[in-house]
Amino acid sequence: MIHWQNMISCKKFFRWSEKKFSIFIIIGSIILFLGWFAGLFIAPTDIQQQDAYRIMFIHVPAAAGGMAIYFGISICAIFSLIWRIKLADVILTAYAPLGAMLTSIALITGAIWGKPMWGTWWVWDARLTSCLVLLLFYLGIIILRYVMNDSESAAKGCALLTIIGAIDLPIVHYSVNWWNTLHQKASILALQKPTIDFAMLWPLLLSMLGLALFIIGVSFIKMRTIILQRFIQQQYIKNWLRKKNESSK
Amino acid sequence: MKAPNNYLFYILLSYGLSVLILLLISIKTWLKYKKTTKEQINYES
Repeated sequence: MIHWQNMISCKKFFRWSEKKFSIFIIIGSIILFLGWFAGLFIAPTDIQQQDAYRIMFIHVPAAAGGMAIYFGISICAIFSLIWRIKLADVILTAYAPLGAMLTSIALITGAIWGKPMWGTWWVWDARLTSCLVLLLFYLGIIILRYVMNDSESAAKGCALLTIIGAIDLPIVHYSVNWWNTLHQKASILALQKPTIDFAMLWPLLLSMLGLALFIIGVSFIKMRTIILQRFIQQQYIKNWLRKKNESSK
Repeated sequence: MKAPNNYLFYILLSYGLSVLILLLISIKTWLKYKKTTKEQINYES
């Protein structure tokens, strides 16, 4: 019988990711720079919002990233809770601060865009409020992990809180359809033709790809740090540290 | 190619803050990784 849980081990990830994170960060940064450059200087000016719409090239990738990360860590929470897969808990711990960071960027840039467009930094609109709730769930997971250290009960608690918070994801996504919100409806949906022009769409997609690769690279460093802290007694960590120590002499 | 010429303050503010947050988090993550590696090497030896 194949124990598939063994296939996704911290050991394999630690060995595999050693040289990979810098590649992700460098390629991600280049693509992100190109996407933002195209969004700022090549994409045409919007007839209604004029140049203020260019904030979208950071706001949308950050908001989509914040939601995608929460969806990902919710799956990891299920894996961690049911099958006790250690790597799933490592992913959850590493990605929660990154998701919180992206959701914060989405809320901050949204507020900056809202001031000239809506005349206010903040409204208690369904989309904005549900995004704020998402950020609070992220902060809850981070705080819970911090106060309970790296114990098994911390893993359980964080996984449970993550799963409870996943209820907010469809609310964030469909809030613009369910309620009459000030926030505009989605312009890009996986199963529908985008409602924005291609000249504005490609820099947006480039920015999304660049930010995703960059975040994956940073998350690899975070995951490696957590593995180093938690599994110091494992032979593969000891071997790696010995090798590292010898090469630094 | 034409640089944005209106709402410049809001554009600069949003991109500036976002880049700052991304940079700070990345540098902090890298420094923590380096520090942890060093600590664990010392612990092992």
